[in-house]
Amino acid sequence: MSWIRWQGLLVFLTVVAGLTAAVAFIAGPLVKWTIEGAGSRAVGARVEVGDAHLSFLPLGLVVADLQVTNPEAPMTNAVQIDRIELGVEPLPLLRRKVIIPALEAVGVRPNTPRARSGALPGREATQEETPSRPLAGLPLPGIDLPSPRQLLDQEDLASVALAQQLQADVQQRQAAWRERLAALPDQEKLAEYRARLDRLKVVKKDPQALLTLRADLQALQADLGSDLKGLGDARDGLKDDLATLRTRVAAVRAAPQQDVTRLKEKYALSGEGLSNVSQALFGNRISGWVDTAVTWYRRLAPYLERRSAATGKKEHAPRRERAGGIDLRFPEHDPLPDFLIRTAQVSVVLPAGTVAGRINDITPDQDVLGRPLTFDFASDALQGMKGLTLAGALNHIDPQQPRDTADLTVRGYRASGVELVKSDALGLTLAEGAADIALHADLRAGELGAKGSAALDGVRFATTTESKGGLAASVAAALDDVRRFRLDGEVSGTATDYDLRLSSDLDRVLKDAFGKQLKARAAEFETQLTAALDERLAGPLGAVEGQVGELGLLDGDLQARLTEGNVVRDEIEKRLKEAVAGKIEEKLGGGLKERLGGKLPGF
Amino acid sequence: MLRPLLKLLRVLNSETRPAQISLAVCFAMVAGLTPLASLHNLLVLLLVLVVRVNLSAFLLGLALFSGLGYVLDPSFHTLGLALLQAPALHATWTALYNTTLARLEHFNNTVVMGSLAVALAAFLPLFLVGNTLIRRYRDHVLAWVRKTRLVQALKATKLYNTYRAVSALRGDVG
Repeated sequence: MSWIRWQGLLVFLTVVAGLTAAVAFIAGPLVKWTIEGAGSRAVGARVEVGDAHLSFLPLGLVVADLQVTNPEAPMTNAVQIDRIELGVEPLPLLRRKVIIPALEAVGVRPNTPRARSGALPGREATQEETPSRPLAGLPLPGIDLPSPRQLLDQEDLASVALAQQLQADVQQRQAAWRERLAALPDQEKLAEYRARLDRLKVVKKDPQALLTLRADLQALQADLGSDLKGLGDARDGLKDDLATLRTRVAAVRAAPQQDVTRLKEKYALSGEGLSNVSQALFGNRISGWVDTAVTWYRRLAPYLERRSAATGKKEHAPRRERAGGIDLRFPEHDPLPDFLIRTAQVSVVLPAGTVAGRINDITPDQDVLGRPLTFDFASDALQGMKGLTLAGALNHIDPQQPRDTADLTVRGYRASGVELVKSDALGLTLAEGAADIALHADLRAGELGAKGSAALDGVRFATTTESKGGLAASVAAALDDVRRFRLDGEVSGTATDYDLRLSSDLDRVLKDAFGKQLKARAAEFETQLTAALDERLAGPLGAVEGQVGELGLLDGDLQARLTEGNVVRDEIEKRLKEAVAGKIEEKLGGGLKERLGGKLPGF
Repeated sequence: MLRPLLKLLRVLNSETRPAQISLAVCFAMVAGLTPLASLHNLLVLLLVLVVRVNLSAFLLGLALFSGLGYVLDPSFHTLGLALLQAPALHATWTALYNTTLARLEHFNNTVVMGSLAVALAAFLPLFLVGNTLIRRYRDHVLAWVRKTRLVQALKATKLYNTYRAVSALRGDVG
């Protein structure tokens, strides 16, 4: 028996030919199915292809009516493309490299409505990434100020705090002084001194009684002197306290002015609050544009870099499916990206018209290719503007240090009916105007930096305001005269948390217009505020002054006690002089005086 | 479940050479353990068709080894990863990676590498063991079964003769 059956070769060739024919026959639907399946998994929402046709000589593909659902809004296509035509280099394909030398995308339309939901089964539509930014009112200083009384209720006031502190201190001092005065000799004690003095009568011709009398008088004098010293010290202390408290009362009386100054500044009545008018007028609208740009960038960013480049050194979990596992990469002698579109001619259909452009080097393997993705779009035939150019580069050659740049210029953009401010107090619309816009954006390793300027000419604002006078009317009148202005903006931060700063000529125009109104309103506000604050302080301050007055009365009481004590002391001294120095010396003679003189100093 | 078993018995009991059966099983092992849509399986198909191996054994073996391959895929991944990351083999893999044929073969996939390595390593041992087992089966088990009275009685029936005639027409009996 022969080991070879030649008819098997025929069967093999037939099988291979049959398989090839089958693949060729179902290639179109297979490509369609592959694009829809892989696309839906990548996007997270339904990707649909109207028709796909694969050609073999030359190798190429035509895709018609590609719809990519916006995963955040399943009833909207993030992008819809009428027709994509591309060729594929066959030899690199054998090495699993999809190299597309040229691609043409015709009729690229963003944000088109869908007839049916594009949400994938079991996947809820996520929240809109771009938060809507409703137009806000212009923060006109003073318009929404609370009444002075309300304002004082909600503010922490230094003057009131000072008054309350002083009131507490005065009460404490008052109690302390009352206690101290109670411990000092009062009128009753002084009356006792007087009674003791009255009992010390001069006894004539009795030297021993005279000596006793002198000793008693001296003892009385010492007792009284000690008490009088206590009273004197207390009065000095009370005087010092009174002086301090009166100074503090004066300070509390001056404090309201500091509060008023602070509150004026806080509630932007100084005119400084007008410096961000540009931010208020254009901030929300421009932030919305930045959000849209960031959203689109975030949608495209995942395709700029290969998420996980499996190398020969990383460990990965296997997928439990046939032909699963992971593909390891090894150094190539002639490196080529796994996927590359060398040149894509794209025509984007916008409501204003068509913008055509070219995108070069679309690949997730920029590190392999060594070139960034570049794009260049231009149009001179858009409605509402004279011309538009958009150019830039998405450089992810070094995935650790990506740098993306974009430059946008718009010439003669006709802005009409652009609503800027929407509030009951003031409605503001840019009725007409032509803008030349230049913008440069730079996203470097996650740090966003963008600068732009817009010069508007032939401007006309339309305003609606309910009040005839006041600040809103001033704004309306001031903007009525504006015919041109320049707007400068700067964005910094990260793509998800950025800071937008805007400035324009309108800041100065509006600031001047506000000046007079603001001054009058500020003066009125200050008067009302001062009056309200004085009224609020009247209670605590009145109480404090009353308490300080009561302390003054204690001073009078002390004064009276000292006076009475001094009278008694003077009388003691007088009686000592009369009784001892004069008459005793006369009766007893000089011998006794000499004998007693050494023992009784003072005689 | 019974039908494949009967097929297997019919193949074993036929006049087919043991080598034809065991070689078919070895080819089935390569095609079954490795991902089916691999370039080397085209070669296996060619060999199965051109070399006179038993097709029934191949198909039975393919079904068996495909199931086994699904179960063993995680192990193939681990083995393939170890082989592809082996420093000693890095130059070889790099050279292969730069050839079109090897890229078409998808050798740099961990499951392809692991399963192919196991299949190739087991090819010759399985062929030799298969040959031996088939011979022993025919010499001992089959000879004993044929001598039993039950089989003798069955062979004497008209039904058995009709079956043999039909089988001979279908080419099942060798």
